Amino acid sequence: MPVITYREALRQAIDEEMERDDRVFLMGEEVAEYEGAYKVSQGLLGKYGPQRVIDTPITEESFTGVGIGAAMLGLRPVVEWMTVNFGLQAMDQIINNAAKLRYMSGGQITLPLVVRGPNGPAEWLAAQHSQALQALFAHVPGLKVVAPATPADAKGLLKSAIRDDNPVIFLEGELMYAWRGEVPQGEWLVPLGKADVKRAGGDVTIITFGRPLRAAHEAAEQLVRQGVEAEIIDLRTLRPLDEATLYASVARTNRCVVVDEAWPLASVGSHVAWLVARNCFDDLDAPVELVSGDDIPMPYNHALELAAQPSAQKVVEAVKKVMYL
Amino acid sequence: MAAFGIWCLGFVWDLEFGIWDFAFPEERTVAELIPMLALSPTMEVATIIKWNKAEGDTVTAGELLCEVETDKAIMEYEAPVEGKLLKILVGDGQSCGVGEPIAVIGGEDEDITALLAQAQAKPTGAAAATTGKPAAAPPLAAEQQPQAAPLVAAPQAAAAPSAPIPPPAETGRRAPVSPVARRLAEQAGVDIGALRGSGPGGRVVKRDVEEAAGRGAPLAVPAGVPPSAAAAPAAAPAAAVAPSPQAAPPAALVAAARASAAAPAPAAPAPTAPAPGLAAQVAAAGAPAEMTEQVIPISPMRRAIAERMTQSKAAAPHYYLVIAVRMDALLEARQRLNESLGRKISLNAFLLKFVAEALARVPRVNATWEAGGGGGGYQTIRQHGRADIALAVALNDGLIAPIVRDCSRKGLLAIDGELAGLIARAQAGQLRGEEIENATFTLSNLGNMGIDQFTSIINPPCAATLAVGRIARTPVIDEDGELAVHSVMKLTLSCDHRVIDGAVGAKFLSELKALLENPVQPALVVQL
Repeated sequence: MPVITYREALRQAIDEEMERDDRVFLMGEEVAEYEGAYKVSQGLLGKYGPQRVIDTPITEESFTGVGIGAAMLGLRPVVEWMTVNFGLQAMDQIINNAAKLRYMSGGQITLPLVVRGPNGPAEWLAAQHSQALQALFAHVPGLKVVAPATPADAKGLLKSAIRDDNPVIFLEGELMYAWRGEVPQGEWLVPLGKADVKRAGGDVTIITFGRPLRAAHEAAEQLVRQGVEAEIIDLRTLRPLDEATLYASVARTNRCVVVDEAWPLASVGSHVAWLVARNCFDDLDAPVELVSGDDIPMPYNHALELAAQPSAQKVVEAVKKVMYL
Repeated sequence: MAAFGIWCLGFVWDLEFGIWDFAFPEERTVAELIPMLALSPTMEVATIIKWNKAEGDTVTAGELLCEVETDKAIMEYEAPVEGKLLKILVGDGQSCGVGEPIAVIGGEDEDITALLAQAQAKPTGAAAATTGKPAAAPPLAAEQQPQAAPLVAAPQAAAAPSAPIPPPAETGRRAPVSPVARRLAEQAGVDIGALRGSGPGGRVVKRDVEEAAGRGAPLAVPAGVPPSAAAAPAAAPAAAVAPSPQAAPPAALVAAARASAAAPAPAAPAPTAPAPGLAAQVAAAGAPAEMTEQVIPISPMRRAIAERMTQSKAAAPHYYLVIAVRMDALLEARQRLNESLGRKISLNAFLLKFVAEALARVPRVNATWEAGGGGGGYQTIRQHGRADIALAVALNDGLIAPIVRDCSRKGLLAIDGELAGLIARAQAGQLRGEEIENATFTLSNLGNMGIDQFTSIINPPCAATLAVGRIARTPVIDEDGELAVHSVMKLTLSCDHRVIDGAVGAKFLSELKALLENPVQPALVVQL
């Protein structure tokens, strides 16, 4: 199986879906001539032309709205936000239009829209551009929210998202674009709403998604030396949540640590921790731990910036806590 | 404009918060007796070192109320409820048993005469405190403190495991239990009330149940039990594996009888399908001994050892003096004494006696380095007027040093008798706080373990500790140049150089050596 980057995996998904269905098109800032701020759309303008790979003005609210309108009328747009921080300009379009139209039309309108872009802190981008905003989208019924953490999931989930008739917010990561991994060639679909056990273990369940998956893996390796086998579950889709996979794991391990790089209040992680605490109450040997980003705007100072985010060390500490080590 | 709006909101919020803050204590007007809690698993009696609140002070739940010295360490007692500290029933330096009321917390100007009378009337009240007897805690703690569980807040624990066996009588509260531990205990028939939790605040967690089930498994058909009795567990398999630290078979049978009488198996235990962890534990119990990596939780005693030793080694500049002592004469004298008394006087009793004598001759060794009080920063040396000598006693997992007070004024027999009692109670975990506090000198003897000589860490507040090696038959060049075989014991004195200079320590050791080598010293004989 070829080993490619997360960025290439996304490109494959868009390319294959555009090839497969001519209603699929890509638009966003710098996606065409510049071939994407993060080079996800490299080569697509040359292959599909300016009708289907469209550079937009710097107006997130407008071009997101254009995408919603196009989806209402039967096309399958992929809208790229250069970062999710810029996408905040378009929140009214997302929450009041994209998320509501199927519901308020009694199902007469379908909305096969994918809005995608990098989410979560990168490095040295300071408070306004280092935010993990998944909770804002996961909060809203009517949206689907996807956050792949591996190249294979990135490809399989993006293809499924493009084929889905609901608006899907597809959260990538600036620091993940260069991550490499095995990715199946050709038709490869990962279903939305299905979590994945990324590492099997019987002592503690670590639930995470997106970039912190790597910290979870590092933590699991460190914990092996202390005789602890951690099970790592990658949520992959934040809405709808695959609860069954979580509960089955916690029923075996009796201990649970949730890792979410977002702020802790009202986050996906805190919600998952609550779900596990409620639904696995009789299986738990310790209160569920949440490893989150610190509850502060991201510092620009690099040492503080790193200290404010989940790390392998913080995950190890949390695991020790739930295991009474 | 927007900023102004936010500022306004903030102001309103603060105001509301403030009102809440004031309103809350006033709504709470029912005064409560605050009981002494078991702050360590083995604690029965405790001494209040210092109240951090005075009568009339307002306390909030979780705030430090007082410092309590248990059998193992000084612990912080946090206020279980909020209100006004209306009355302190057990003052600074006073002791009381677990479950006895130590204070009353309630509302402003509340009439607490009835409560105080109740506290007096309790058979477990203040009077019992002076006897040092453990109080029957459950009634007080359970009836009067339904919502107060400060150190281990777990109201759900009061819902009780379904096991019909009552909680151990010596604790006044139920320890919290993790949900899965509760479920596994029910499945394995482990009596959760009898477990000592290793989690935070004494929480009974999964591994505690697994360990109990592992220990209890062999009891399913206890050895030495008549066949008819051994058959009984089959009727109540759950109870048969209940852990029973002492007198296992009878306790297990009692538990079995209670279980079958009181609980007509509401949820059938499933001993045939225990959790995987349990199976592994049971399997491991039968396997030959092998080294396995373990993570061992820190007991209060281990924590106390760690803190005191680290602090001592860091604060006191240690140096060590070694001296070899010929013990032939003393051993001979001891043998004669033993024969005449018809009983054995322990060597440690001799050592304590002679050390006390040497301390009287070099009193600077019997001292404590004191950081000056009053915030002035000056420091003093307290040279004690009494030789209160501690002897380190090894325990299963730990160490404790009970003290024989005033060894100079006691005879050998008295010292020996006291020592035997202290060692027995130390090993049974029954020492009281006052029996381990404020030694003036400490002795540690590893001779019976075959150790020739060793250095010890000074046991604070002492300024010196004596490490005693074994008595070995050793070739020695005598004073007249002849090679002879003698019984030689090596003593190592660890000194705190802040208090004891090298020459002073050396003087003490040479005095001690002279006394031990020439036991026909009047001190011994006269005081017998």
